[in-house]
Amino acid sequence: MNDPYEVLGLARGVGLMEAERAYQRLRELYAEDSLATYALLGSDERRERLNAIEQAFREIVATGNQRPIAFPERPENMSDEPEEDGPLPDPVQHPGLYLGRLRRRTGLQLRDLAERTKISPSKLENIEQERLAQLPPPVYLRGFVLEYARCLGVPDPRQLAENYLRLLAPAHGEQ
Amino acid sequence: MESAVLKRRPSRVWAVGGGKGGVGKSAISSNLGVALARRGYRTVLVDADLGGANLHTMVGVPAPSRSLTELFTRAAGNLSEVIVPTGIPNLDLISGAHALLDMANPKHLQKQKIIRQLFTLDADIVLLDLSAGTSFTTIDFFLAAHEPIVVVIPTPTSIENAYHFLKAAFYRRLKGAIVRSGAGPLVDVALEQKLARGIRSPRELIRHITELDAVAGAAIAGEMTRLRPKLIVNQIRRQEELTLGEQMADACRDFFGVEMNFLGGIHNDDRVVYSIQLKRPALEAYPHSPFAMAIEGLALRLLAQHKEGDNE
Ligand SMILES: Nc1ncnc2c1ncn2[C@@H]1O[C@H](COP(=O)(O)OP(=O)(O)OP(=O)(O)O)[C@@H](O)[C@H]1O
Ligand SMILES: [Mg+2]
Repeated sequence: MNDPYEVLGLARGVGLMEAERAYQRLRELYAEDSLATYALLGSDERRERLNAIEQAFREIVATGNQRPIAFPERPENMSDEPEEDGPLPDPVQHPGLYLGRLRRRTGLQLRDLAERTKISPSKLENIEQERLAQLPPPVYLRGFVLEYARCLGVPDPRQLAENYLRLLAPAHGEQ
Repeated sequence: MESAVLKRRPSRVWAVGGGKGGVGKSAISSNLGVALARRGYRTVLVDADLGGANLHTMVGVPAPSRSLTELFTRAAGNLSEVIVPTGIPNLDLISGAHALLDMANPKHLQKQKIIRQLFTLDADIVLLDLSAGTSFTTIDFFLAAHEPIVVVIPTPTSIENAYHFLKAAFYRRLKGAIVRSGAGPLVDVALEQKLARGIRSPRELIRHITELDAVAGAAIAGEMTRLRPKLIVNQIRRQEELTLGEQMADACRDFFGVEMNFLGGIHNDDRVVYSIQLKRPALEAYPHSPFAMAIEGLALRLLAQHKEGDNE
């Protein structure tokens, strides 16, 4: 396998930042003491794989993908959504909608919150919109909601996280 | 009111396996069954652990008098004759109870017949609890399922067995795909000489086959990408172990070229053990336990994919 992008599992010609992320991830994945690849390959194969990963990344850096890394353009001060003045949704019935409304009231954008919580904007949005089927496993979800609620200064973040997890219980679920 | 909509569709088969014994396959499949049944899906739990059947106990049913044994000894002719109710609405059971010792590897034809019947059971979801190990029977059930699910725990032995299991499944599917593709002898040679040719992973092997025979290669690669196992990491004790699932999915993509979808983690929770002592599903005995919550989350995610699967 000689195409360096293919070695790193990337589409040809992605930006350098993405290539570096893939490189770091694979290096960690195949590290000698990695539990996640334990016994998947022998120690020679492991070394060869690590070498191939190293080579591939060097090649990508050397051939220099000249295309500048493109960030989506957006004017400063433009907010994601219109302002909302209505009453806050019920934090027990709709903890996600409650958080979303609260965030918009404080003038924060998803991006800002993502930066502070280190949770991706799309995950935050799924939480806000209560897209139950797209949420991370409860063990993560609890932490995410806690973090989000803390960042916004919600009075009782723990209670809110509990409310959220209850959305997953069948009595409140689909039907 | 989803079950009404589902009624006329053929059942979907989910199989829970993973190679290693004692990782929680039965605890997870039985409680998933309860979660699905409560949501209105008519679910049949099948104890496909022909060596050490115990799923009946996990759902609180004494060893049923009808089980897969009766199929193999021909006392019953059809899978639907050995279904027993569990007392939980929408949840039925096919027990593997008191299976004979030599039944862990039934005759090929018998097995094929059972697999066929599993897919035509009158149910929304058929949930198979597979046995540990990588016997042909277990791999066949796993590969035949619409949703093949692997359970691991964060220990080297479990991960070793899981990869052993995945490799066995991968190569069994690959051999079938090669035969069906009508590929020439070149491909057989590639398979045999893979080490000599410096092919180190299944992903590289498929690529190599495509170089040798583009048409057959495309057919084989297409069949292999349809193998999409799902992963559950059970008995998590430390925060760091939460990354294991995504990492194993990465490894699967990189090494096998197979998309394995990490469904979620389940923390170690003593209430699983207590509920088995009570001979009741944890979802009933401890509905607010972390384990029960985790199962509910898994059920939701699997159902979301189940609905997508209907449009295939
Ligand atoms: N999340 C969990 N927390 C604590 N204990 C658990 C958990 N999951 C499973 N267990 C315990 O681990 C033991 C093995 O579980 P189980 O019988 O479901 O495994 P299995 O994979 O079906 O085993 P086998 O291969 O023998 O059929 C049981 O005692 C069960 O209570
Ligand atoms: Mg079991």
